Amino acid sequence: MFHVKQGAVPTLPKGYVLSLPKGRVLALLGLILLSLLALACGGAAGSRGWAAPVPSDDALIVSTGKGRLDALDPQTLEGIWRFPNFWKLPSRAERLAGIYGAPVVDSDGVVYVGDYNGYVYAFRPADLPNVEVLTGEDRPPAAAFKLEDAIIGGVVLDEASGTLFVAAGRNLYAIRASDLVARIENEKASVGLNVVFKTGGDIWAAPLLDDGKLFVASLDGSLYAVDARSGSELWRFTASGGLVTTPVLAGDLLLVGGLDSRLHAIDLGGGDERWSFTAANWVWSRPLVDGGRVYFGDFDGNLYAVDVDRGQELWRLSLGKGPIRAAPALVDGRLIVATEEGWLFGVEPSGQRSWLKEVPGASLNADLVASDDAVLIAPSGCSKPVGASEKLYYASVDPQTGELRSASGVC
Amino acid sequence: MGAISFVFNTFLIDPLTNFFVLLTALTGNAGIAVILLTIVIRVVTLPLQLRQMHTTRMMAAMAPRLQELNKKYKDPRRRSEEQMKLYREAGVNPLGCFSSMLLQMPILIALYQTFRVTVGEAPEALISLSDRLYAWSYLRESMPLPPDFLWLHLGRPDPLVLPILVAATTYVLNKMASMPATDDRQRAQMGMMNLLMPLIFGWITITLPSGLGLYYVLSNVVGIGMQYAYVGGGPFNWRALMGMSQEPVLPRGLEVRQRHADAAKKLGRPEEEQAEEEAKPQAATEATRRRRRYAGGRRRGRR
Repeated sequence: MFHVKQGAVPTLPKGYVLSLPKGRVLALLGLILLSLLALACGGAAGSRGWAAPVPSDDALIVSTGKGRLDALDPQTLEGIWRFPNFWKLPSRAERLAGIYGAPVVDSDGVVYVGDYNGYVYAFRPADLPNVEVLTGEDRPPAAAFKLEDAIIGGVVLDEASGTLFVAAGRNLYAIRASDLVARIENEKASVGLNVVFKTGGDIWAAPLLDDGKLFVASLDGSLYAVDARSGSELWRFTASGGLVTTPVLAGDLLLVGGLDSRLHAIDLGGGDERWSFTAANWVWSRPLVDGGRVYFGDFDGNLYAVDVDRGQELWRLSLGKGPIRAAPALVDGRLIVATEEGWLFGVEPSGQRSWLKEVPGASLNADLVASDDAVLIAPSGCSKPVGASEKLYYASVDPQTGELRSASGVC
Repeated sequence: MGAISFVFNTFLIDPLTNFFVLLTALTGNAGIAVILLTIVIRVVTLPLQLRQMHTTRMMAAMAPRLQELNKKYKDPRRRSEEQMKLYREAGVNPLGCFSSMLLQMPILIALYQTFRVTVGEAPEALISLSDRLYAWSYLRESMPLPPDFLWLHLGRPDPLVLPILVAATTYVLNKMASMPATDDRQRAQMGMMNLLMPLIFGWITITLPSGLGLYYVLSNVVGIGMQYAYVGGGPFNWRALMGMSQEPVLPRGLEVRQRHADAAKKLGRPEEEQAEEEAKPQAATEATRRRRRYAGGRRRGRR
């Protein structure tokens, strides 16, 4: 039998003293557990999309979920149809990944939309049969056409030339809209496609089409003016960071914001910078021009009012409820602003906050749209307000009171 | 839960994310930034890795002594007490073998989050990143980061090459680190582990951002270099690496093990036994015999 005399036990050389006290081992085990918990609560950064609502006479089209469009009755906000669920699509195009650019509706009622999965879709709501319950066989066909890259910038329709411009990856494509419509009936119909212009970075903002020219903001930091017909570059302005907002016209100026935390005012004719305004953080909300003022938000949650002619700050309001990605809207002299954390604010033109309202559990990254006496919103998902028995999808807000109106048949 | 998340984010994920963005902005290439990040992490965790390598070797060296104890004490409680006594005297904590691996877990998870938000494809990733970026215009203006490196988009999973590289480097590292088993049961267990672990890691890589896979491969390559340096270089047994031999991949590792074994052998024994042991002529130990056999095999192979 062994009996150990402590003093007689040889010790290992100094470098071999390796013991980890129990406490430290427990601490390490705890660290693993914490890591796993943190991973579990870490927010997902997958695609979801933030298409702005599109109002029309017959329906209000809203992206109510990831890769999903709902048409709501403009008066009652009741659901009318849902894309892609109500349409028949080729199996490879059935899974949508996120709609970022607002859908476009042409004069014939055809809806065009680009998805993060790289497909451009075209469908006619008028094709839906007038039945109580839609079965698989009743579903009308929709067209799907695949581009090489994810579509984030969205689509722009030039009805005069019948061309659909699509920003996908670094490319600006031109698609013959009639070919896409033909594909609704015949899945194998050929589609005329050509790359109008290629930028040095991805295009995350919808191009602006004005007077035969396309203005394209790119993550390479440049704003390009391109001839829509020939695709030739007319001029380019280059900033120090990626440009991410859709350019907005303000007289003879183009306003565009970027990841250099600036709002740039570019001369429409030659591409020279007239002025730039430095915000506290990224400017990703499309600017809103009203009279001689431009309103926009930044990623530090500040709302700015800037003089359009000189680029001077008129006022700033710190909202402190997360980044502002959505474009503000103006109705009856009142400014409505939304934040990524799901807060809505009513702001006076003087910069005074008049009300705030929370859309619980949802992000508000989609541009706000003024429509009659309401502001249309497109939260990232359904909310369950305190005390409510069921989930609600809020589709509009009263600009005067901040009262939210929910849609039915969405959640 | 909120506090845990706050601590993890503030002290690990955020600094790593900002450091990665800074490296990418400075080098202009996210792949090179991953390489630099791997080196920095390896250097910072070096003391723990060295400690783990020592502990692993010591545990292997002590295996015969532990077997002796197993045979000697039938009462599990007494056996456990004696084993713990032996560990204590050798200054070895059996869990110390996992210390470096345990530290790797939170780092890997933090890097997973880092790559998702910094080189993630969807614009939402940039919104998540805005929360993490420090208020330094140089970092903010450098966004979005160029996500491409060689054939990889660092934010997307690589379905083929990277998983194979992860599995291969994990296998080589495990083979280099493991010592020859002392019995058949142990040999079977080790063989199973040496095959399963690389396969599992390779499989997981298929679903993760390739930036993380790249980090893991580079980290393994550095680990292989460290393992080689730790045993003092020497020849490389390719047959053992391919699973065609039961000998160690790094033969010189046996010498290290022998040194440890000699030290471990003296532990936990009464003085008279030790004296008796020292009086005996230097009998070849199992490990020494193995080393000689191996060396002989090599010589024969050369002829």
